[in-house]
Amino acid sequence: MHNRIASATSYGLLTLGAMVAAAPIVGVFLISLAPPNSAVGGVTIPTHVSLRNLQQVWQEGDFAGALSWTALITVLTVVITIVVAIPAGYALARVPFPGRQMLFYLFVFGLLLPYASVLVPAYFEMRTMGLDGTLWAVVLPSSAMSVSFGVFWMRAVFGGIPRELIEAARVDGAHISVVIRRIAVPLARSGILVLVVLISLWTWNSFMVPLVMLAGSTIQTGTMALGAFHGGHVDDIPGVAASAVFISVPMIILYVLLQRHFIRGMTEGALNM
Amino acid sequence: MARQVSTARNDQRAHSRPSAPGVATGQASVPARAARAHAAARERNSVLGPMYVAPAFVLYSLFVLVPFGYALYLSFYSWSGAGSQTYVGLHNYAKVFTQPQLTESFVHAAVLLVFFSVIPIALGLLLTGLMTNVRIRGLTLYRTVLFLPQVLSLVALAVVWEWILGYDGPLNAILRGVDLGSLAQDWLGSFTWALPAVGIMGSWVGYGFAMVLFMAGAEKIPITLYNAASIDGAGRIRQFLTVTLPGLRNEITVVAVLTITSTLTSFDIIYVMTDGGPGTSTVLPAFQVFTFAFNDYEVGTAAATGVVLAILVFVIAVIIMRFRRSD
Repeated sequence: MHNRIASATSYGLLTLGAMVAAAPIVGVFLISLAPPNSAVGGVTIPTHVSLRNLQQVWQEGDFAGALSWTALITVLTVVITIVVAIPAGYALARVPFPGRQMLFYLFVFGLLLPYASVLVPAYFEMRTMGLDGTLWAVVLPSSAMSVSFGVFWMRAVFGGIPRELIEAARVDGAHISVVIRRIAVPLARSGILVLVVLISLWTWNSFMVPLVMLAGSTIQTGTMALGAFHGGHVDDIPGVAASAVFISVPMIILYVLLQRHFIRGMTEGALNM
Repeated sequence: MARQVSTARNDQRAHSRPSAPGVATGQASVPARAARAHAAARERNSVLGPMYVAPAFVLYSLFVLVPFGYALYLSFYSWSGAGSQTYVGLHNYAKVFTQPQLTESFVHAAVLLVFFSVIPIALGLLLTGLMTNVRIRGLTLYRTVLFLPQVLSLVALAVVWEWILGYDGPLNAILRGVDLGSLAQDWLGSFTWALPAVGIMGSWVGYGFAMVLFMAGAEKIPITLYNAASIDGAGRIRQFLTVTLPGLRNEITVVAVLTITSTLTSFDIIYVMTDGGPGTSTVLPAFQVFTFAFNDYEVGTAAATGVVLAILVFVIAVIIMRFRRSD
């Protein structure tokens, strides 16, 4: 009896929690299907469902262009981060050398450092380098911030590989680069995928860095396009909803496909801190 | 793949265990050779290690460490972003602690901590406490939905909540529906309510994360601890306080650090939902760094605010991390 009450309460609360989490998101999807510029009041569900609003906002906000830039910036950031974080994480986990611990702590420093503290000087640094307004002004700082987590994460992943597996190869005289490519990376595949997913998520959704670095540039990211459309159409609720839908859908698809990796990354990544 | 892995492990074991006494008795040359190989390996490592870390370190230095150093430097200068820089000593830091728009940004962050951090942690613990020893079917689905806000851009979530909290939005519609229409108002336009309204959104973003983390943590608490407590006559509340809560210490500290950091460094939500307004009633430290640098052209003050923000985040994180269980 006692248990049945406990179980009913648990289900009830979990369902309530899940509904409260989902309702605003579902609501925005529904509203984006309302006719363009229509007044949407209260908790009504649009009766005339059409794609016209989505089509109109897609063109007016140039979301095709903005999302292409976001995709390019995200891919470049992920590739750069992974390429440098894998060898660094491996070396910090598996190759003893003097100063290794110090280097690790320097990377951990970046995990806690708020980017807002670095952004302003980073912008002037980019301006001095003549890179402000280019996509590198977003890619390089985003990669540098991600590297901090990437090195930290890959060190933990490589550190978790059983010692015997790596030493067996080393006894065979394999060079470290071969050990990384042939043994460590294949064994760390799921850890690497988690890292790819997390960096994609952060870069895709980031707003402050592109907003500052691309001010006055012709390049515009998805979150910037949403911000701009929202700024110009505050009262057009279906229009703003549509633009929010555009930048969210790619991440929702990725999330549905790789749900386990998202959650593992965000919980384990946090817990290993 | 799996097979390959297990063979390698077996080979290694088979190889190392019997040979250990053999090394000590029979072959005298082996330890010497091993020592030489060991020294060579160490030498090789001290070259290879730094070499493999170098690309990551250069990138990280150029765009994180160097700008942070530059922030420290700029925080002692008065600069508009162009033209000459004038040394002003600690003047910018004095401003951080005396200029109302800056001091209040830290006060607002402190208020928001209740919403961004305390409420999600409390809700997460409440649910986890109620769920102990209950098997939940479809947990994966619940977890997926609860976690969904973590996946979406805060810019998108901010426009969603601006709609919810708007005068003609769902929140007011619900209030009118339950005869509380007199309370209905433009929440984000109110000097009194704008900050708590932003806070409510923060609670919404955070509680699913806390729940998922705590539920995962609770699964790792051995059931025997609950049985033991129950034999000692502990009721559900006592069990929660003596078993669940200590068992979740790591998870709680982590959620606290992450949510506190995200409150202090919030930018997207404020930029989109309130632009710091009405007046300056919702300004936060990271938002002020941006405003001072790019609207007011007071780069030195912005840099000093950023440095104070970073120090605050470090101090808070270090203090909270001390509560972690050391295993």
